[in-house]
Amino acid sequence: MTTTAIRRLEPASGYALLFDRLKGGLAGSGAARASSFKRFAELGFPTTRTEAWKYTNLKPLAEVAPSAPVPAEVSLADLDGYLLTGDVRRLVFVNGHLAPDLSDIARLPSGLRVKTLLECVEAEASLLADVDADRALTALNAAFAQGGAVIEVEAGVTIDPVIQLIFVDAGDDAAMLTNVRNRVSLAAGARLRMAETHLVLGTGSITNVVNHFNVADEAELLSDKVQIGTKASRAFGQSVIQVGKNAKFGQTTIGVGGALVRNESLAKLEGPHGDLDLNGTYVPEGGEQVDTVIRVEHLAPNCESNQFYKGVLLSGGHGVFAGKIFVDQVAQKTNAYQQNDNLMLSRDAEIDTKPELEIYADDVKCSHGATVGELDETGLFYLRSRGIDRQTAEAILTFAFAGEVVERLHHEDSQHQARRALLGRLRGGDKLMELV
Amino acid sequence: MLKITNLHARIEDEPEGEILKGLDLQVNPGEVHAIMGPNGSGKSTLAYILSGRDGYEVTEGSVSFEGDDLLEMEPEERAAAGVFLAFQYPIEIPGVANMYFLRTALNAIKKTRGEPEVDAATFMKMLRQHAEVVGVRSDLLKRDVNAGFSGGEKKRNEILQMAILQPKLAILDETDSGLDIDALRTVADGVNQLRSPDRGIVVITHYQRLLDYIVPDHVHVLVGGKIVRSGDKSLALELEEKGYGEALAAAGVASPEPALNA
Amino acid sequence: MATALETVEAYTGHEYKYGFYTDIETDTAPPGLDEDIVRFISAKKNEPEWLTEWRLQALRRFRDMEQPEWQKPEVGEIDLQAISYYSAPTQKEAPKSLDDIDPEIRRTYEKLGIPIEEQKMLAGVAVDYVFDSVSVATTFKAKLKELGIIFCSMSEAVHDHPELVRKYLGSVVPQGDNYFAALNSAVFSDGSFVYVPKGVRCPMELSTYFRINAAGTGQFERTLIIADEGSYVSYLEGCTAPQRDEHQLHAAVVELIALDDAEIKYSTVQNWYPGDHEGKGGVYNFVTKRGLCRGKRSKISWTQVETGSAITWKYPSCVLQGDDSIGEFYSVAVTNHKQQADTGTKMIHIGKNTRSRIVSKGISAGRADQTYRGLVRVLKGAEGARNYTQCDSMLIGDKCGAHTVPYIEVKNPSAKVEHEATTSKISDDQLFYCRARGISEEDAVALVVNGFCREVMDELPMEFAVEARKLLAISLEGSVG
Ligand SMILES: Nc1ncnc2c1ncn2[C@@H]1O[C@H](COP(=O)(O)OP(=O)(O)OP(=O)(O)O)[C@@H](O)[C@H]1O
Ligand SMILES: [Mg+2]
Repeated sequence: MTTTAIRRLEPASGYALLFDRLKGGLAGSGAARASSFKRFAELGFPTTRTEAWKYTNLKPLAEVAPSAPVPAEVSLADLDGYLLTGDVRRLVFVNGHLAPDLSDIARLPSGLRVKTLLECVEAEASLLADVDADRALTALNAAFAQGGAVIEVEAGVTIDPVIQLIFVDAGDDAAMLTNVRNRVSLAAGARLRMAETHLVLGTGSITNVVNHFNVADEAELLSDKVQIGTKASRAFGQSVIQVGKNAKFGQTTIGVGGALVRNESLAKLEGPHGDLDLNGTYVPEGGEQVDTVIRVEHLAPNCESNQFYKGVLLSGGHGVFAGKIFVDQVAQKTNAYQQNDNLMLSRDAEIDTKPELEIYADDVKCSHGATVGELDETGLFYLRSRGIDRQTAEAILTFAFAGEVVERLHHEDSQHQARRALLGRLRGGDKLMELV
Repeated sequence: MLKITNLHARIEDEPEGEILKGLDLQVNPGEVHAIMGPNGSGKSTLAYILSGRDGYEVTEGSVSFEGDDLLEMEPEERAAAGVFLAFQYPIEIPGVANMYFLRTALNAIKKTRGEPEVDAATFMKMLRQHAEVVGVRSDLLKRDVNAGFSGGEKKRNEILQMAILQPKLAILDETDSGLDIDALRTVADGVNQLRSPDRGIVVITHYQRLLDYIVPDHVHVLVGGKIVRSGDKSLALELEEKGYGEALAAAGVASPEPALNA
Repeated sequence: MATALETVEAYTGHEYKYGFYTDIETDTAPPGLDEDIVRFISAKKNEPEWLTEWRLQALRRFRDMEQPEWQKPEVGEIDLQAISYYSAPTQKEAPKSLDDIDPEIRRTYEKLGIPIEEQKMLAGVAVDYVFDSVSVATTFKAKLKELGIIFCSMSEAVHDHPELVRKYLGSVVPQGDNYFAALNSAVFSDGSFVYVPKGVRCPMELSTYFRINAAGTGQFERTLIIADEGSYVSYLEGCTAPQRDEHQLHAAVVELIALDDAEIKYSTVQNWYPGDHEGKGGVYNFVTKRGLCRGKRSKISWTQVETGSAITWKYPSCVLQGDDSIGEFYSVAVTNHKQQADTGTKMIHIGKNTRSRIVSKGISAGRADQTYRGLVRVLKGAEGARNYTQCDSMLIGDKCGAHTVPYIEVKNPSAKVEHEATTSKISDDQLFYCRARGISEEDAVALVVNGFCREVMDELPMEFAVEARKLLAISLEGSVG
């Protein structure tokens, strides 16, 4: 008997059918698309026997007969509350298709290029290159992706406007599969702030996003990510992050809603004195599952990395956190830190957390911590003794718990969005809306 | 007993900045020397180099201790030879009981010297006596080395170690900083008890006050990695009154800043 | 002055002190594993039919399994057909008193620093000696008997207390639990058996010393400890093996059962031969240890000091079934040269208000690699469960590795789980401070490391603590940084 065999879930025939139907219309090299699809089919979906997917069952996804992303009508009013104000340039994709009326990339400052994947992929096949060869969803993405942004900042330029990328899932077909690929490259010494907003406006479908962030020496990229889902939406995302010498990358992710939301980050600190900061909060409820999977690789000396994640597990919610710090033998004087705190607010919630260290250099300071617990009774009592009812007190404390992550969003509007979404989830949260 | 000649030294990882730039100092048995000098002038660096801490590179000059080349010796060999440094910032060692640590140290030194080790009972008696003299509470003896000690407690603990190990050359790096008046006197008493014709003592301090209790035979001013002035105890009084500026000027150095950055 | 690294390289390290081989006659089965060997072992031990069947069933399960590969240390396929599954000192009859024991064996234990002699007994330790696979002597039996405590070899227990053995054997670690446990269930040779009756506090430490002696043998002992209601027992296990160029396999199973209000404290000082500095030879230590807190308010506490073995995979675990039961795991693991260890624990919270505490201190030196792997699982019904985990790794030298892989799975909102872990280099400042006070570099390392492990060492029974401290120092010789 072989116990190792069941490591692969065969994708349903619908995947191949869809590819055959769409392949004629996919931009870029047909051969490359076909080879990506072939690799996807060979890899198959991972099973729960694959360590990184231990707590996540992809069987429903493997069994789907996926449908093509169709264009849909969305107006600016539909995006109300999610548009960043101030000096902003914006690209909006609806079901993976660029929505020019909603976008605004006029008056780009010099040194900044903002294009779509479709515009660039003919000339630059590497946009769809493997960023992670063993990951089936990445291969699937390379086969199908049509939507996405290509952003470049020239060396030494600091970009003032914030770039907002909005991805709208406007599908009412739970089997619709949208693949998006973005690439953001900062040349040496460049600086950019951006925001990724993922919104589900229909009943929800499947999105599969792959981002490639390349932050060259001395450059700095800060990114806010707000994800709003529905009971039926499934969102998979992978960010591959490369950080050069003296460079900095920071990202804060706030996720509210989604049947299955999975955010994977693979960050590589490639030059000395690099700095990486990843934060996030998740609040699953009612059958939702949110996965946060992180691998930070320290590949050069004197780098610093921080991971700070907080989970609020509501009734029926399932959270998974798997964060790994890997320190290569050359990465002396590494400072790496990781914290995952979870608040369990219901009997039928579940959290699986696995903070992991893999260290091959000796002169390092690495630490991680993970906690699981309920709200602090003393804190609750204190608030109630001041006349606040229990439900509100719980909402206040829960909000404060997640708030520590929200504060790390760099744009004030992102913070507002995040706070509103969080409070919308909490019982008694409506009474606190004025706090936003 | 200690002879430092033209000592130049720098931090290993930083090839640029030389910290000691030709330092000369001679300490004879029975003498007490005080070294004063502005922050960052290299006093602790000198103390660390004398006790053998890693991370410094001596680029020029020599240090001999009782005729031996001190710089060639490992830290524990220096300790066994009788060199003791009371640290400016004593180190905490979690999990290791203070008295166990001291006894291990004492017996290690005795063993190297070929002297019989001290048994537990004798040691305890000796420890209690000294602890009382230098004002180290008995619960501190049982606690982990310096772990969670207050600043003053750490300094007293250094003096206790000195009293037990009975060094030939004691270097006290700002042992008076952070001490209350009573503690200052106790520390001074500890040092004075150690004073004897065959011991040398080097006191690094910022305050003349300590020197009222431990009266030095010589006072040196260390600026920019060099001894720029030496004198008797009246020099300390003068410094207290006029600051380093005048002393420096008298030594032909305008102000400490350029010397530091040179 | 020598830099840390130069010093590391300058020292070539210590030699394994316990690497001698005892020349005694042994009765050894031909190498290989099949039903006949299992029957042979069972027959040699004159076992009842049910046990022979039980073994054969285990063998069948084992055949359906594959050598696990999820652990960090990579081992090739182990050739289980090359191992002899039975090796016993030939002795005409079972020793009736200590004087009957082969003097060579006794000398071996003396070399190990554990003489089988009056003094030790007066110290209040009852010792069971397992030499290769067979228990050679159990001291103090009579005294224990008065209290109704059974402390004997597993073989004896099978004959003298079949009802207990049959009831509990495999009840915590089932035959098919994992690859090596299945192997052990099929071929286990001997081990210790302890039963402490209701309300009895065992007045002395019970202790077993394991030693692999014969070449080409594996050791597959099986230990079963049952603490009946309201009883208490503290059990110590120590192990050594001779120095050999080939790898030796140690695949033991330990099962602990604590009923209502009972407490079992199980301490191990493991010093199997680790192989030479190039990783040649050494023991593969693949052990399944699990305790079941079956009763209310029961408590099981594992303490281990792991310094030996070429490769260790070991996760002493607690299944906290009884309400208010407590599980503890205190571990110090030292790896040097080319040793590898993948060790940790599992705490499974089933009952209400169950509590667990994990303190793990890993020290890695030379080119060694070490992994802490732990699981804290809180099931839905485990109202008010608590876990605290502290996991620290210390690295000595820049060619070793330290890894931490904790799994935390919680399904009850009233649970409180805290996990903290740190990894850092041995502190240069602390080493220098010690040396400036006259303590040699090696002793300074031992001192600082002992301080680092203090919390765990404090959990060891006194007579073990001293030994463990020395062992720690020996294991770290030649690792100075
Ligand atoms: N490890 C180090 N790395 C870099 N610079 C150092 C290091 N150690 C000391 N220095 C520098 O060397 C100079 C001398 O430092 P030192 O500690 O000897 O001064 P000090 O005279 O003892 O000062 P203080 O009176 O404040 O104690 C300072 O400029 C200090 O910043
Ligand atoms: Mg100083």
